[in-house]
Amino acid sequence: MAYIAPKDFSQDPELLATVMRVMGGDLDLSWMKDHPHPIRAHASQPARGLTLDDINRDPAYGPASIPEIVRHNFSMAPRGAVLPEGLPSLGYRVNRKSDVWADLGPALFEESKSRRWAPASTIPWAALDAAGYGREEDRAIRQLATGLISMCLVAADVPSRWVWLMNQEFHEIKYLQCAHMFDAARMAEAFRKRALYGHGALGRDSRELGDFLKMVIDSETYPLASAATNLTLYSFLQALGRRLEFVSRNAADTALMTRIVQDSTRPIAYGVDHIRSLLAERPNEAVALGEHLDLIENGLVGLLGSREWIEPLIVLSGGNVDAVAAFYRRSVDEYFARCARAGLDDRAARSPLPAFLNLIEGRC
Amino acid sequence: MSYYGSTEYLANDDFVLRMKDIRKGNLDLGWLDVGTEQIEVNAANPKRGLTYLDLNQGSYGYDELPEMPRGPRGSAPRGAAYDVANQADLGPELNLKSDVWAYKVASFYEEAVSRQWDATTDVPWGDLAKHERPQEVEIAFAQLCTFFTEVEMIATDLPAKWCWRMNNQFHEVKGFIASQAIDEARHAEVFRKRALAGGVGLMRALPQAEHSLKAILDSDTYSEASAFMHLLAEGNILTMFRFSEFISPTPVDKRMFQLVMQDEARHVSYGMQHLKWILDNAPERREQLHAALDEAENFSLSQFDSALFEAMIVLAGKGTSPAQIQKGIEIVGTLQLKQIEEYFQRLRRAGFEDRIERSKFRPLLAMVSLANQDPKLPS
Amino acid sequence: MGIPFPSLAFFQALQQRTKDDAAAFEKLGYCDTTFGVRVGDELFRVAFEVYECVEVAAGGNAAELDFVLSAPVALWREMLASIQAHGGADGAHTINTLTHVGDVMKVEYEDPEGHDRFYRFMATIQAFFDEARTLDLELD
Ligand SMILES: [Fe+2]
Ligand SMILES: [Fe+2]
Repeated sequence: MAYIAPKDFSQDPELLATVMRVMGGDLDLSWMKDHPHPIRAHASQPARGLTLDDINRDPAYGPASIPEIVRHNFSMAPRGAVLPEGLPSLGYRVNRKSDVWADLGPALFEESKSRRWAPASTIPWAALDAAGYGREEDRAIRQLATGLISMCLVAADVPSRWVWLMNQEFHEIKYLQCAHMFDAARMAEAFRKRALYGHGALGRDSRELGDFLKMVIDSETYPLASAATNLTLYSFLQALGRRLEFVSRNAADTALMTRIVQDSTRPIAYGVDHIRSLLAERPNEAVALGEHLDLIENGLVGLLGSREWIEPLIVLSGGNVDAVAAFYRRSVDEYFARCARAGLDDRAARSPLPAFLNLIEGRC
Repeated sequence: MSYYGSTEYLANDDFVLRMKDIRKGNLDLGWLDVGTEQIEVNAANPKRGLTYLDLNQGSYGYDELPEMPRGPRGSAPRGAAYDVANQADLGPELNLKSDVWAYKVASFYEEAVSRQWDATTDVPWGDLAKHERPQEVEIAFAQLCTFFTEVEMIATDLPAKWCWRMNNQFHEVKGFIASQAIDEARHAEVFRKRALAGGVGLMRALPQAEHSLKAILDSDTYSEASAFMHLLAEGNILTMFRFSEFISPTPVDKRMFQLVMQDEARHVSYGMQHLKWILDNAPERREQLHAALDEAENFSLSQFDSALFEAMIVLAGKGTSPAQIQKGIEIVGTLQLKQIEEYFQRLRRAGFEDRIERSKFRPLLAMVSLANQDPKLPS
Repeated sequence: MGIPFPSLAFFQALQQRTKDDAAAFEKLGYCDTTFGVRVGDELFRVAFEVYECVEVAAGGNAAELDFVLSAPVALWREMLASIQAHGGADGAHTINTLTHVGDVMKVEYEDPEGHDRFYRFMATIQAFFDEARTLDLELD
């Protein structure tokens, strides 16, 4: 048992005395004076509701009050509350603001709640009945969906791996991690339903995909995990969602892939803003991030070249390898542009991805 | 901790040859026929849509998932073809079905996805200013909201701590936990917003309550943590939400509590059904759960932070005059009994009736005069 | 002539409202529960499936229901009058408030899981009763 109370309270006369005192009507009420930061927050735009940004304007409560190194609170006390003596440490390991913070975080959390959908009922699944895919195309989509279930399950695991280690001072980022967990679990659900709907079957696991996902979740620090997940993994999930929306010939796939693009773009936006803020505060971190992404992108090369990934894409492009190569190039360009926006502007020069693109484009 | 794979692809001849081959249009297409089961899936109820329950078939379903799924340790989804020897091992720690499973968990997940709400727009914040309330009531309410803001995130952090360690075979449970994470983030958010919108702001954090939270987070196993948190702690919080709706100073607050209550009841139901699943399928763990709940109940007893209880008394009595305090004490006393009564009922429903006799709440109830107030308590 | 209360016609009218006002109920999400409403000595059974009320009936076996909300006729009438006066229950007449302390309205149940469904779908059940604001009722 990892944490044991200092006494057996069921036999504790002191506790009993306190209970009896309060329940006997002898109230202390000193806490009633403990409200040092009165505030009456209101919605700046009533149509949008009361947002986190609305309640964050007061410096006593907003993120401006978070120091770069949090030393004053390791408990669950919310930011801006009165901290009495005796609060325990909950053992947080991520206590540095720049390790997690993105100014966009609160707005992205609001957006994720506002854009709710439910795979069960939002997607018109019956439209797949007359989708008219050929047998190989049908199997190709189900094969891709099989891999995407894995990808999204791990995309849910990454925030789960880190959120409980983050100091409560960063609560907006913690909320956002929860949104990412939920959004990813919902995407995994949607892809499983897509793979199995109608005359359905799952396809084959990809060793390269598994290896890539293991690299991502085993990232050693939260900033490295954020870059690998939010920049790299989500960029390619989003790209695939766009691709599948493009090849879709029915209302179900169109609705589904549109939702996938939306839900995978929020983590990207957070990732760009997070890494950009981190590098603004601590430029030296670019070295570790760069080296990590060199290796993560090697894993991505394996995934993009794995038979379970590229072959269904070629099938869905009518056997046209060039079309898939062009899709890959565009996805990589967009990804590099995001990395550059985040402050990692040397990806194209050092990444294994351009050499891979040359290979698949037949240039070497 | 780091893992960068077994292959440097561009330096690997097999990989480069494969790419050149694919470039020439030579596809292997082995994935087209991998021998996975083909099933026929439709929405049983088109109005409800396509749920995980509709997918509960054969090798894809959860009914056929054994207590000890042998082989899968990677990211392959349940029912997919995978190579046991060649999978990337994600190192899952929770690999027995009874480590995580709960009766009806797929339904709880679907319900959670369907019943999401938004603390920003679904609470009529703009109406708060229309309702006059005495300053001392607003102060007590702000203290109550400070407490809820403080404790809600444990129910995100604890499940998150274990979710990524669960085998991918249990994706319904992982999904449910992800839904709980977002539910609890929304709860912390809504109570923070309420405290900051009412004019008082945040008040005093509660050390005793936090020792309980630490004990939840540090529990040795997921199931012990779940019994402590889902069943005992969230059960208590659910009763407190009912109480808080009852004493809410404004309709805005009532709305807030109606919404959080729904989520909380789902979390408690999962906890009860997980406990029941363990007791039905891994009865050898009964004593371990007893020991965990012995200490969990001990922590719960220690949680008598007077700021919180006094705030509840002020809210229930609607003020601080002696008569109001007396009324408040009566209502809060009833609430405490109700918490224990409902906890005992859930234990019984989960098949853990012998827990009631052993409970640490019994001696305390016997010691304080509260015990005399309600003869309905299970004997 | 308004709809009398209590009566099966009253519950049928509320049931119809869950179809006419479907968007509001869909927004609240799935609601799967069969519960009872006891008005004095009369029991009515109300079944929700997916988003809407799919069945109402007079009578039935309370033991087969998830939970039963039970109160004297006068209290139900008071609650409905509040709903009609305020366009929805006022603070003193929400179903949680009425069932919470003092047992003015009782929640009867055998199975704590059935009981928890009362909480799990509270907002839908409240919305169901609040639809009475749109009905022409005879409450005297
Ligand atoms: Fe909660
Ligand atoms: Fe909860």
